[in-house]
Amino acid sequence: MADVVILGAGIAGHTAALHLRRMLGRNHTVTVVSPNANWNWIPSNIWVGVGRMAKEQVVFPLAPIYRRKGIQHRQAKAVAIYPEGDADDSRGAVEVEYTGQNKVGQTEKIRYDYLINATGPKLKFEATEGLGPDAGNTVSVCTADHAREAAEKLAASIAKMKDGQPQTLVVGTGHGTCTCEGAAFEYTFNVDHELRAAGVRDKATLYYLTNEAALGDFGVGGMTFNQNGFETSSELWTSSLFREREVKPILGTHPHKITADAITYETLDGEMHELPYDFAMLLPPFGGHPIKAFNGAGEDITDKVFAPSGFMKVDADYTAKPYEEWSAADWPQTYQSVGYDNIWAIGIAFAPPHQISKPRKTPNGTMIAPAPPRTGMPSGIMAKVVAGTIADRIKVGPKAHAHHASMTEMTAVCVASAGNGLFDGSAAAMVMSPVVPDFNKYPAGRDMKETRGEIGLFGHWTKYILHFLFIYKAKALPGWSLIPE
Amino acid sequence: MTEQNVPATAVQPVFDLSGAPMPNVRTLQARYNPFSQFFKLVGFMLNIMKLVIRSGH
Repeated sequence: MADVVILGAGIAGHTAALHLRRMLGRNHTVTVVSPNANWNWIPSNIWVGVGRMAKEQVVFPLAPIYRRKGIQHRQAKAVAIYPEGDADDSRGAVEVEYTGQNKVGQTEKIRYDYLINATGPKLKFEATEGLGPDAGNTVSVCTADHAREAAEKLAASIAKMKDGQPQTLVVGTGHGTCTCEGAAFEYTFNVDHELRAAGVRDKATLYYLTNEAALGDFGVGGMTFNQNGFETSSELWTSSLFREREVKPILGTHPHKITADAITYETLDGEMHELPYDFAMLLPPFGGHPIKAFNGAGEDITDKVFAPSGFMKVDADYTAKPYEEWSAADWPQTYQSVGYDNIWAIGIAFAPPHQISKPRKTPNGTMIAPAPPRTGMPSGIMAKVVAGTIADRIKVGPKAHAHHASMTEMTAVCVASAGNGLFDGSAAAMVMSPVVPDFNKYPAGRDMKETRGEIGLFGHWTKYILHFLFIYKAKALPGWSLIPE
Repeated sequence: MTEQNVPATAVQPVFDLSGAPMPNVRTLQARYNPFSQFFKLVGFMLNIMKLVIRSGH
């Protein structure tokens, strides 16, 4: 009998839990530790954030699913891991602190034979003064509750425009090291779509404030597409969309301070600017959750297990070197932790070896470096691959071959909404192969035969279908495992 | 020089989009034509399935 513990119940953690439960007999336990009671289909938070979907359409409670599937559930957050065990037991352990299940604040040590860290991002709103919906002045779409608040504030702004008051709206990234620019891109064009639907687009000035040095970078260094038999770049393609929709992009930015009515930001040339605004949705930078690690003697080994960012070190090459010298081989294959062959980190939780987009510094020394995205399809694939490795180790033995899924070989589909509507919606549907460019294998970094992108109504239909498909899958309804990651 | 002593300006360095291609009316109409878009949807889904089957994920 083996005990598998999974930290996190987002796309990566929940997917891993379901696959492990499917792959392993009931004599083995699968335990999910998540501070949240609900599962959230985060890609649709964009539509909650413009009032096109209710929160209840993008979340559902985890407990009934886990009860039905025989997965143990602790509504708690991990605070420390003991990979070598402790004085009481040589098996590894995770110390958790409950956030629900009528045990708030209580702690427990959970023993494991295999551990998956899928804790997702810590939303670091505190990195920029005045950023965020709780202690700051901006809204967010990172959680369903944040998105609902964003929708309310956007509706209030639209109401003012209907009364004849011009409004300045800003959407983008709230720090120079943010990731998930795709989400900011989606929200920008959904806001534009709603403004047009409300008949107030002429009353709005809509800015896209981003840390990307070029439009269409998306934290992956941009893409070269095949489109209708011609090669085009994501920069040209997205620039066209910004021009068509009259959205004003401001590139290579790092916001320093956000007051109730102005954003002070620095650009790559070191200049400081002040942008007055009425409504702002700015994404926070991500960090790893603050989990400590201790060895068998009780000594703190956090810096051995985790990178300074808080993300877990895995089988990547973390050797410090100039951006120009990185290669596809630096990226992890198995997501196994450094030094421990029974711990893995997947999705946002693993530490990437370097940026994909070129990191830049302003003359003032401010770092503006979009971080690599590790969400959505890639995190689901990592989850399935690691679940397969663990299942083999349990059933075959500890020498069982580890399954591989490098982001330098992985194809990902990304559908970025540009407006919600059955017949007037649109989305940019992109296929990226591989996610992390491999310049040794492909001259343009990616396979030109597979990498493509196109905008249209079909993109919206695709995203809408995926919304229902992935929620069906996450609910583990009949045939769920046949739905790809 | 540090960020604190750089004075902020009210001028916004908006990226110049004048060189970006504007879609023509025919392209815009095609993007919202339900019939042609249905076939694009089918093609895109088949492409996803092909990639999934090839990758095994």
